[in-house]
Amino acid sequence: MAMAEKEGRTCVPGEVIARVPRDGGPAGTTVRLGSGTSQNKCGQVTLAIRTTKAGTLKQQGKREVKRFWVETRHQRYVPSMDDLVVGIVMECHGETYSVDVGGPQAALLPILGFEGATRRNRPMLSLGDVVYARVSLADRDIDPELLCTEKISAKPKGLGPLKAGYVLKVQTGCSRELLSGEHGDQGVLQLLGDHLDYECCLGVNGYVWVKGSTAAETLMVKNAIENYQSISFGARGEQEETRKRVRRMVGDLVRRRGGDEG
Amino acid sequence: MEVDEACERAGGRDYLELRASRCEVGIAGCGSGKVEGSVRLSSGRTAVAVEVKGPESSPSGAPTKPTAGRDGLLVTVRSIVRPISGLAGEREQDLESKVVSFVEGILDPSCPPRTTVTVVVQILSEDGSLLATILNATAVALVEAGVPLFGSPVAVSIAVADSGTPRVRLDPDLREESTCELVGTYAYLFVTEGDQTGASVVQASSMGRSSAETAMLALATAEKAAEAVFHSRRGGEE
Repeated sequence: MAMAEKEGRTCVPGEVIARVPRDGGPAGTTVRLGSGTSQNKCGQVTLAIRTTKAGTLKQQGKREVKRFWVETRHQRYVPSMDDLVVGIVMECHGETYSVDVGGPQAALLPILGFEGATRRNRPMLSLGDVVYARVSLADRDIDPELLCTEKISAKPKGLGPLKAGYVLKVQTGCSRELLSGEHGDQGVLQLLGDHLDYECCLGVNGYVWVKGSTAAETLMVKNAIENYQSISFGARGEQEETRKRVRRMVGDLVRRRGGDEG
Repeated sequence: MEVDEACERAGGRDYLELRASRCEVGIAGCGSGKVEGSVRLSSGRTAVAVEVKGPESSPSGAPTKPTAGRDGLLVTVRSIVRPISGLAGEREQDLESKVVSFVEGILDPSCPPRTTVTVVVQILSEDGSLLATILNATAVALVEAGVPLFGSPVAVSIAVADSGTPRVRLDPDLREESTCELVGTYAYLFVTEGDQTGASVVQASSMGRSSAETAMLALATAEKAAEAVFHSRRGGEE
């Protein structure tokens, strides 16, 4: 008896969404709070659930378990469990690497946290190296932890160090849009793929790693993604308008490259 | 019944009418990675630009000062206010401390601890109600940056001329501020539930003197005005 995900509505910080009894309620209902929500005591027996960010309030859930969260487009990433992120190594403290994932605290990655790593045979990373990792521990009060190993019985996703290429920073909402592929064949990444060969790795934390076959092509992909972000920010969700502008933008970039090389 | 010709407000404004305000969000370029929330807000001829960055990790050993009411809120707020030209002086330092106490009052306890939020304010032009404009712009920048807030903040500026019957004016310009007896800036935080709205005062600062009733009248008028601004802003977002 799953309730379909309700259509979100825009919200501002400070809206009380629901009041729940503090001890879980008669049927043991659980409420899970996602990002952008918080709770506070209100009276002797109830907790009030509030929004803390501006965005689209969504809820989902069956009878017993309800989830509330606010979808936002912000830049600052808040680490949560099992997110796939792109991080930049900052330093190595003994047994762990300190990795910047764009969140409020630096994340920790153990030096043996790679697929098939042993003491003798492990990737040696230094300042500025890029890794694609999974968040294995995330809480507000402790430093988040990353791992580059797969969970047991998960498909290999290419976690680990990424060589060469270029990392750029976008809003978390933008990288989520790119990941969801909502424009299908007309998305920025797909249109670029029609013209060039390149690799890219999208982290939900807003860090995107791109690598083209030449430096000029890498920069072209980088410009395309940054322009896409401004376009979708300006067009505000009008699909057709966004697609038209994206097509025009990619066409311009490709033509310019063709002009340079010709 | 007095009809004061001399008290006609500039531009034919009503006593309880705010100046036309204009707000641009994302002026520092979205997603550039350097600044998370950036706003340019102008109210009449007073304009400020505010940038917000954070929450990001604090340098270790940053001192934590006690804040009212919320144990466990260990977020440091730093603020820099720059004048139109020249170096920052005492007035800017005073504005900085007001911005810091305002932001500390509206942060949600779910902020990650041991982090810093930085607010940089650049005053672009001044024509009265400067503190209210700065606080409103800071509020919008914080919301744009996605910093967790306890509610939606709105700041309002009031001036009262105490000659005969006190007339409360909303959003005074520079000339009115210099002639009125009491000038106050009041910031409110709104929490809504369904159709009801609850307001709490986050900051109340005033200059000048007046009787106690006039001060309470100013506070009450400010709350109503702030609520009206909040509802119109929310209606605009739908």
